[in-house]
Amino acid sequence: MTELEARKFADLEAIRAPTLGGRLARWRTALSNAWHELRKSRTASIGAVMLVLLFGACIATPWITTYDPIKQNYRERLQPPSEKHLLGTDRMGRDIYSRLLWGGRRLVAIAILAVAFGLSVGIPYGVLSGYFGGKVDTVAMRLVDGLLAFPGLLLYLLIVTLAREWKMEGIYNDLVLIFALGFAFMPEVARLSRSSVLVEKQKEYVEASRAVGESSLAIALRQILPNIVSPLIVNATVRLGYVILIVAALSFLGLGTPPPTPDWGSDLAAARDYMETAPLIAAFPGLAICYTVLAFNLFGDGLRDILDPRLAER
Amino acid sequence: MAETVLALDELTVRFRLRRGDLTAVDGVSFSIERGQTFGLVGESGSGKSVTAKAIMRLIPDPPGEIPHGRVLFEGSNILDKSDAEMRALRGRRIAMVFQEPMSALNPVFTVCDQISDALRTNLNLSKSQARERVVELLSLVGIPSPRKRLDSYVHEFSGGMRQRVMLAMALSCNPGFLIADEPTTALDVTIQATILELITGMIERLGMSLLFITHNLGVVAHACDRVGVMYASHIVELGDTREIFANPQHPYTVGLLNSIPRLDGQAKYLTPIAGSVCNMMEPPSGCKFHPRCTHAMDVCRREIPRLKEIAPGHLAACHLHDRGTA
Amino acid sequence: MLAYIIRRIFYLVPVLFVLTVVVFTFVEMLPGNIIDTLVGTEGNNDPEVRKILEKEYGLDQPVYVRYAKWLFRAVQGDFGMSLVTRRPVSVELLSGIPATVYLAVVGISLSMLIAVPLGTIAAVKRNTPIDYTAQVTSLIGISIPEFWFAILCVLFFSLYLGWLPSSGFANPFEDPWASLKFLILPAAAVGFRQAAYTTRLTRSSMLDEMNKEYVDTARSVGLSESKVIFKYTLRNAMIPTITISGLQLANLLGGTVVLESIFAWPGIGRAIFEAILQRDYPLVQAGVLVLGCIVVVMNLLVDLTYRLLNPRVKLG
Repeated sequence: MTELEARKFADLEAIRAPTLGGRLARWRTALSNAWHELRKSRTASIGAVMLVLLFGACIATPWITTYDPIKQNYRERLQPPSEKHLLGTDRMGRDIYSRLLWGGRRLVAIAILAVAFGLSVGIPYGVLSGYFGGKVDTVAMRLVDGLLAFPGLLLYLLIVTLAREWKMEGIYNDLVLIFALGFAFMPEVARLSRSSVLVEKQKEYVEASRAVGESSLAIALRQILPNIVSPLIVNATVRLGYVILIVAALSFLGLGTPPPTPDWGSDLAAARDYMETAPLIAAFPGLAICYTVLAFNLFGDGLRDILDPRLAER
Repeated sequence: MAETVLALDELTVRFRLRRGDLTAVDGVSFSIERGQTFGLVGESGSGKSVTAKAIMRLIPDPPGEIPHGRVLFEGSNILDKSDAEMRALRGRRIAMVFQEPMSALNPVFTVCDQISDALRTNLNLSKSQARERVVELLSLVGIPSPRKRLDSYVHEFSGGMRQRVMLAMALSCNPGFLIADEPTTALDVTIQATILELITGMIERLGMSLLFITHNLGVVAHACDRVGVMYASHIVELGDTREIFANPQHPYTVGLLNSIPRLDGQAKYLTPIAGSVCNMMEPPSGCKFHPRCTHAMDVCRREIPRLKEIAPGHLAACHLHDRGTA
Repeated sequence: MLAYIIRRIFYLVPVLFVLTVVVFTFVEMLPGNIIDTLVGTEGNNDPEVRKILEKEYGLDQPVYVRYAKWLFRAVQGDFGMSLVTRRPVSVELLSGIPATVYLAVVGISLSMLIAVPLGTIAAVKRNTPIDYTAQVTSLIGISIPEFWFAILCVLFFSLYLGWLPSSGFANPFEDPWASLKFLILPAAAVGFRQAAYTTRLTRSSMLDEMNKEYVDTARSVGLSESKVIFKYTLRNAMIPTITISGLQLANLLGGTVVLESIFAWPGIGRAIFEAILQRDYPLVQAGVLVLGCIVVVMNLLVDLTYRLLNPRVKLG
């Protein structure tokens, strides 16, 4: 049986038997289809492999680390990599490998939640604005323009400063970060989904749905939404990398995550003082950020090539 | 016998795409004599535009390649020429009019800039000489008050006027041979005839030869001396226009003729050809037309028919003629 | 053209409104108020004093009145006094603008100088080692955190090789040579990331343009390949590149906070950052507002440039 036949067979099986096995088969089919699509783009497959490793490490962190990332041990300060400490120890004798993994776990979780928040606010905002058009649209888009007028880090700086002044710590600080990052992503999502809606709105199938008597809101959600998914997926993937860069930059400035929580940005900032004597301490968090952002960018780039048929033959 | 300007000899063009190879032009041969107008007819995707680009050596490589065949222009093979030799040929000896003047002309340069660039490169004219020549050319192709339009951009012209500009650009350096790739397709029906007459008129006046590419047999009847019919990257029928219209030999040509409205009073039902053009990534075996052909036989599924001379100067590629029945 | 500009300026009003409201709200939402800060520093918590101070700062009035008054003064350039230096905020900010603009403009120009040729060559020679190198380098460029790149630069060029100072600033008009030495590392850090973006952009818009038919037309009349690429195609491909670079320049003005503080560059970004650390919120508020306004104006200029470059877009 060829690969193709096998996949078709699995498809049939899945349709016939909605049992647990069938469901598993369907999942397997979906996965193998997805992988098949991904293989079309080398960038996407490299990105996917890097992401799987990243997520694997994030999920498995409690089991593959042996040290408490926060507990200090002054007898083992600034040690080079060894069998005992894979990547050495930092200025407080904490195991860098453990800090890296725990920090990454938190960072990736924040990034995903932030992007999810941005999407969940931005999509309805943009879709409704584009669908209703007219005055609603004008006002909504001017509002978004206003938010886009904050260059670079400034909006985050304002929000993060507020969090500091209100003495938000631990989980609350993380929530504020997620809110700020998602909120700043919202305008882009809103504009993107609005313009997709404007394009889709012109097309015939929307007219057709209206002709059979569907209400405009139902059309907006059911018919248009599936059609704007692909540009949003690409955008969200690339944004995940960008969000990670921003969190790291804020922490680097000392405004993101207060120590001793493991964080790539603040660890990097702390390592600056030891740059001449122990340059490796600064290298690891930097490399970790680079790897993660690169993984998201590669995957996003590849996805764009796959989803945009215009570019397929390049 | 008249002198042959252009001869294609078993020209084959292939594109290596990620999904697989695509043979866009497969063993195409025909020749055009000086002063003659040759019509290349076929549906979109049949390979006629690729043929034109291959003659101009405009096939991007990669993904395109020409594994075999020759393009003889005035006796020498274009495909063997160096890039510099080819540049010397383009514009001065061969020129091309494209289908869609809006996208074929550069949007960010004025009309004068574009045409005079060609003039200055090829004929070493000065800036002001070139400008004067552009005025001449624009009035030649019938653009009213040409001096005023010199510094206009392409988007400021109407569709028909754009195609006139395109023609002026192609004719700017007095080429002896012109390729017109569907020059009227993108235009309003009312303007098509005007542009067509303009092109054929210019050809006659300047004593040029023309390769005219179209999907419209009606236009061919009007303008061309000889016709080649292309289907799925092959030439299926080749002959004098009058002969082909009077006595079509390939079922595809017959089908094409039956699907155009006739203006000569013979009331006839239009019968479109059943089915659609085959997928060129996975072409059918044997004769590419057999899935749509009403006369398809077993041999059509197995063997690709060769072009055979049916009457003097009239060739067709169809197994129906193998048994000597036709 | 004039009518269009006026209409565009009219469009800016709601954008500026949102901007000012957000910035004003920021200070409103801080816990406590300015009186706490003032009183706190003097160790005086007399309710009478508070009353007087509240009256003096207008805190007894409703929010919208305070917003209107604040806006009225801000439009005239009066942002109040810095809580730390006790000098007018506008003076503090004004002194930072030249340095920020200097760094951003040099950084963007540097990136364009590298990225446009590189992106063009990558597109022309696509799927060759040159293209892959350009693509991989620019991917790394957009993935590397700029502060880490900056630190690595300092580590290598200042600490290891000792060629360049690790941080600082000198006025280019007073001491051009010293100024240049201070400028190189920050400008490289800004330029590298921007160059990475611009290379990708130039490459993809060149690929888009090279597929268009006018390129074949230009070839078909016998123009040389270099003329076809560098005159006819690049001119079209530069339209999106210049537009996006302009927007990036605007964005950069607020994004150099990190680099300005690493390199001790005396720009607005560092001023805002230090104000945050010192809780000098009037300065933060005004700094963000000024940068926001610069971005809005820059966006307008970019839009107008786009229209000038692209004859297809009609004005009016």
